[in-house]
Amino acid sequence: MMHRMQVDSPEERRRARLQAESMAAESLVRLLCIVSVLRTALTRLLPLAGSAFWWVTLLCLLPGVLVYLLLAGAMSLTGAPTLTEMLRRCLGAAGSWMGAILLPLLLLADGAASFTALITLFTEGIGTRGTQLTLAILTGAVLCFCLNREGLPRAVHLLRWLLLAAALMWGASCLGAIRMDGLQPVLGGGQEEIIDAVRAGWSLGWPLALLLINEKPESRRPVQSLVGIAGAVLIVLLLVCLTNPHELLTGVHGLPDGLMLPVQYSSNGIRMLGYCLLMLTFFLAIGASAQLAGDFACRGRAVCWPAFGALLLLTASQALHPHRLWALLGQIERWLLLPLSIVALACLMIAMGRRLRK
Amino acid sequence: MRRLMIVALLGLLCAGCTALPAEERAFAVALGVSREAGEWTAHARIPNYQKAGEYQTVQGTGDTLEAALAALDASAPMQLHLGQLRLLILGGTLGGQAPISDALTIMQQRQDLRQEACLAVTDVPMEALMEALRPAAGTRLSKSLDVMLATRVEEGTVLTAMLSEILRMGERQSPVLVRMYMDGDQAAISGAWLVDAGGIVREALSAQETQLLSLLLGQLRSGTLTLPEGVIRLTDAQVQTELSTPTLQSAAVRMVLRVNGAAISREVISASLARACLTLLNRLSVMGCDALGLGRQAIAHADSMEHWHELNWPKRLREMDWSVSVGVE
Repeated sequence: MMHRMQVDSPEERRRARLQAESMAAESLVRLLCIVSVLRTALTRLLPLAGSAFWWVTLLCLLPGVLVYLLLAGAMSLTGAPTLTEMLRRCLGAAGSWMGAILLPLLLLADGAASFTALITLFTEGIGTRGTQLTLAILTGAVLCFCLNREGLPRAVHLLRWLLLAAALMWGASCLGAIRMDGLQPVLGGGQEEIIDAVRAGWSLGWPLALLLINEKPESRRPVQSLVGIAGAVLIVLLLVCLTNPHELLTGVHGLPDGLMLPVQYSSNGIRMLGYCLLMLTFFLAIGASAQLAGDFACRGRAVCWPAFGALLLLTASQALHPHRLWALLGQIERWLLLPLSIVALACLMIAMGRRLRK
Repeated sequence: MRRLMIVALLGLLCAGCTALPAEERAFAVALGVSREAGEWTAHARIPNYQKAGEYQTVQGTGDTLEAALAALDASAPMQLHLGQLRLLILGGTLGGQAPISDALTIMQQRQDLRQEACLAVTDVPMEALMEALRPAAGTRLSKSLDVMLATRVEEGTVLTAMLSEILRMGERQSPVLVRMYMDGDQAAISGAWLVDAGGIVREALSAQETQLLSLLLGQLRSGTLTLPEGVIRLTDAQVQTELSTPTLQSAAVRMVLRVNGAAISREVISASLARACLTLLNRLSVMGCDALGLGRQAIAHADSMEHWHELNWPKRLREMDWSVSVGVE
């Protein structure tokens, strides 16, 4: 581990610091990926796919993995260390602007979905007193203290063991309720429901592309993050399926029900722990969306207002009727991967063309 | 300082947003729900906060279960909380009228409902049963009920019927509920109530029959087992239930028991137990009660829920051909 190495010279110290910051930045993106994928899986795919939900989610992750690989291929061909640099090298100024507009828009859509999920969890799930807007303003105000280009990734990096411990406690509490027939029937409700679920969720892997926005630490291979995220998601999906039969999974109606299902039948203590875990991860993911959207929008310049602007937009989105907003976001979320796929293909072709010409 | 502020604010989010401290809540230990002549009644047994070690019953009535629960909340001296609930009792007439899932779905909407609460059925008047719920040992009713339930489960005269388990059975298994009745002026727990495929509470099982069912479910592994010929002492029991494939028309139960110093011969134990189990299994089948959870094996033969419904499992279960073999060592 680089950050634990004995460092002597200023150069080594600087490199170690950069590596540590890179790891913290990656922690933030990984958290955002896991929250985004699980949120879409639990709220959009679960009621449709039922017992097939675990493998349908993995299937829906594949287009995202493919786009990730295309972008990584283009980065490798151009020798660019980051996604935005690759866009600039492949598409010139247009690519630079594309990164500054497209990625913030995607992050804002994802952030709005997470924000709606969190606020609806408060208002309709846990039953916290307060209206949607007042709770959104409160959450936004608290998030204002957390938005910081360096501070937020560090906070996520420091909290990762706490989050993991809470998740492990939930996982351990599920072990006694595991029934292997939870995976049956393999096709869930049937072919039509599976197709509907795939249509609703084929874009859910789009945040994987964000894994390419930071320079990778020397000790970490690109595929490691991908495997880690897929592994964490798979474990959660399997635990949900193995502890709840299809009949219960498809009976989930409404946004908070899907999010609360993993802890719905747990003991009071574990349920409370699960709610805290949900709240904290959503809170950090919303912060990550706003921060990254702001960072992309200001194209690397050291100004903080775009992140606060993004947070303001996300908070303001909660003024809309939650169910209508959620339905609208559902339609948008279906197409989040499409612009990224087009950009990835274009960049790869341009990079390959340049390589062939050389 | 800034980090400290962030942690403090995150801590605020993690903290409960509860409006009332715990000492200002009435924690129900038992909740009874019954329906008589179209009117729902909900009873709750809560501690008497004026006299230590004593309990009081509060009740609410309404045209619907939701209305009865709302009336119950209103009649409680403090805000009613179900986070310490040990027993959720369904009145006998309610059990035989509508699927228990209807009532449970409504109950489930309460976020404070304790999922480890035991689901019981009674055919005695709910008010009398509630009043009879008093601590048999110590001063806490919750502890007393915990001990009583754990003892009966260990004996095999009661099956674990936790709310969280029952709610998660789906269409694959029928729940077997705890039987509550009055023994003199004391509330007693022993035996079981069977639920059919439609979720309707049908028949009661005696304590001996429940012991057999507990043995078949693999929950009773050791202890005393009462047979018509006498009592045997089990030291170990291995039970395997297998559904025939692909016909799904017959099922075989293979049981291997270890018995300690029985006065009855092994052949007699084997024959008597096989006969008793077969009678019980046929009774369960005819009623459409899949207490053993054979549906969990059967659903593996369906690739989708559509196919599963085409298989018509409840009908197949009613016509199930059972065979039981008992080996005694």
